[in-house]
Amino acid sequence: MLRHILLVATMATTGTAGAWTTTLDRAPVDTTIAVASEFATRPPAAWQADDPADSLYRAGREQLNRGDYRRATRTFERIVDRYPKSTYAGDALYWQAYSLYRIGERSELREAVRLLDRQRTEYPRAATRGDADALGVRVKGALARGGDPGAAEDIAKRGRTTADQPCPRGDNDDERAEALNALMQMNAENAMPILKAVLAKRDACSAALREKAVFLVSQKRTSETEDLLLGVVRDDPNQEVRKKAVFWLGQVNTDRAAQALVQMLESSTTSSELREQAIFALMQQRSERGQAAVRRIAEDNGAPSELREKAVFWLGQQRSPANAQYLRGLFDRLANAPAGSNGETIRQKILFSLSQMRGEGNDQWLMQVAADPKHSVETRKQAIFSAGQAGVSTADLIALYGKVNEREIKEQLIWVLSEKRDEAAFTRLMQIAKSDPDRELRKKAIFWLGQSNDPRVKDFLLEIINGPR
Amino acid sequence: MGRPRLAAPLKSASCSPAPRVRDGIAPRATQRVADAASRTSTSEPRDLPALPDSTVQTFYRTAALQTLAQAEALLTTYRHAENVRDPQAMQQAARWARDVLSSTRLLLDSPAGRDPQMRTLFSDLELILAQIVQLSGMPLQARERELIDHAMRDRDLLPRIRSAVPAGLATS
Repeated sequence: MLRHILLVATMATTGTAGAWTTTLDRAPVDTTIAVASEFATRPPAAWQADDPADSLYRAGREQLNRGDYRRATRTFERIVDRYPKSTYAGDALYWQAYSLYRIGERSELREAVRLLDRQRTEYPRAATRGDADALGVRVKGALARGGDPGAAEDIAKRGRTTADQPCPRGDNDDERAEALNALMQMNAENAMPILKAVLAKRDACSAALREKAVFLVSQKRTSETEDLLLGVVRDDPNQEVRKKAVFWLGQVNTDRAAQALVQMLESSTTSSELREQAIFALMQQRSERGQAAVRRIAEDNGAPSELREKAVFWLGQQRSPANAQYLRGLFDRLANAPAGSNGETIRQKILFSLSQMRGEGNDQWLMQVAADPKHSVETRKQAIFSAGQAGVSTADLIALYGKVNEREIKEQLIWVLSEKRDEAAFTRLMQIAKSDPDRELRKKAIFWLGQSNDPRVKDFLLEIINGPR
Repeated sequence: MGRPRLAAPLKSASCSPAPRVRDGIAPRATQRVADAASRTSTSEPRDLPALPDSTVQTFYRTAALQTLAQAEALLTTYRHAENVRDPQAMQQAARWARDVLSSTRLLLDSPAGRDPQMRTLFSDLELILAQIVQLSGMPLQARERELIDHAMRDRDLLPRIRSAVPAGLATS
């Protein structure tokens, strides 16, 4: 039976037939882990319409989902009191404890711990049993933070053993992550050596736990954090764990961290994902050195297009006259890029990026690009859209409509004007709809006016449909 | 523009020892990072230079949005699995939910949870995920799923997550 349960447990967590047998052969004899796996993977109880507790259980779950936690607590309690042999009784204890955890007062949290202990001893086969352990650690963590010495001691013990445990099975990983979190919130100093030990692990099965450990480490802001994150970036075999470390390294605004990020960004053999993450991190550090490295990538014809686009995007996210000037300059330098080339794509990204950086005269600069026939129609259309996003005035858009001749450009202006939704824009659109010599543009103006709820526009459209009175 | 969808991060839980590979970092780049890492100055931890509050908020908000993007993809997958009555997909969604639930709980206790709006959203998400992780895909669980669906609808969970996660998050 145990072998069967372990097989099901392993199937559920690996998803490959080959792995089931391999892991089954290596199944540990530790009965604690085996039992945990059993509960973690056993299907929850089906709804038993003939069970006397059925309607109460449903009512309790509905109350829980409505956020009526006190009432839900009482309902689940009634199930266990009145129908202790019901198939719902074990799970009712879990949901009662969960409702109490949601209430969050100290006495309720203590009661939740008691209920989860009771479930463990009296209903060890309850479907919610595996999750009960993670919930239990979470509840004890809340109690410990509130000054409960017993809960604090338990969390400290669990924390100490977390790093030494073998590969997790079933829900055991959640419980370990909860224990680390609780310890971190309770006493960060004590948590750091344990997190360090977790981050020193290299097995594939602890990768998820290491990701969580990186997040927890990042919450403490000392040089130890810097050392640990750099160590993960350097040594961890898992790309996702390294990515998380690079992300949080951005919060470490030291020369050493910046240097590591710059080197990673500039290494063409580093994966694009890590380099993109390095761009984000460097831009958050706001150091001159980091910004210069990101600019170099934006200009690097040899760098992957997506990486360059990310560099342009993040430069635009940091509003400053220097960044605005730089991006405009780069736009000009890429002017000779052939249509459809990498450079043309970067130029369009620059337009978008500048539209995100409000102010700095970007709206007027974008309108100049839109008006300039030396640029491709696509680029000019993008410039009009970006100018609209940057908050260019309706008057400027109307003025440009009168100056340009290309139908595509005019169509774009009609659309962006309709997005302004102010009186001047609607008035001009109605003029275009009525009297523009180009029938296609009249149609386009009518279409976009039709998307508006403005009463004046409705009257106007009715007039077009019915003819002048 | 279509909303980006993130790939389901169904993690392999294989417990076979992983080879010590450095996928993605080439030896030379690794060495450079190693050089930087090795220049540890003192044995006693010192405080890192302070960051502006806005920068700290950016980090936690970004981390929160990444988890919400995962949650959105997960809940969409869950609803699809439920519609097509696919027990295997339901099991996968439950396993995935376990990972997102764990991240959600960590975020609730982190500085990300100090933003009242985010906290409410994560709290509602936690309640739903705590129920989804219990699903096994058994056909008899239809009523269980019905309760979860009602809760999701009553709390407007997916629309709220969608409005919190800006389109293009995955690409930006």
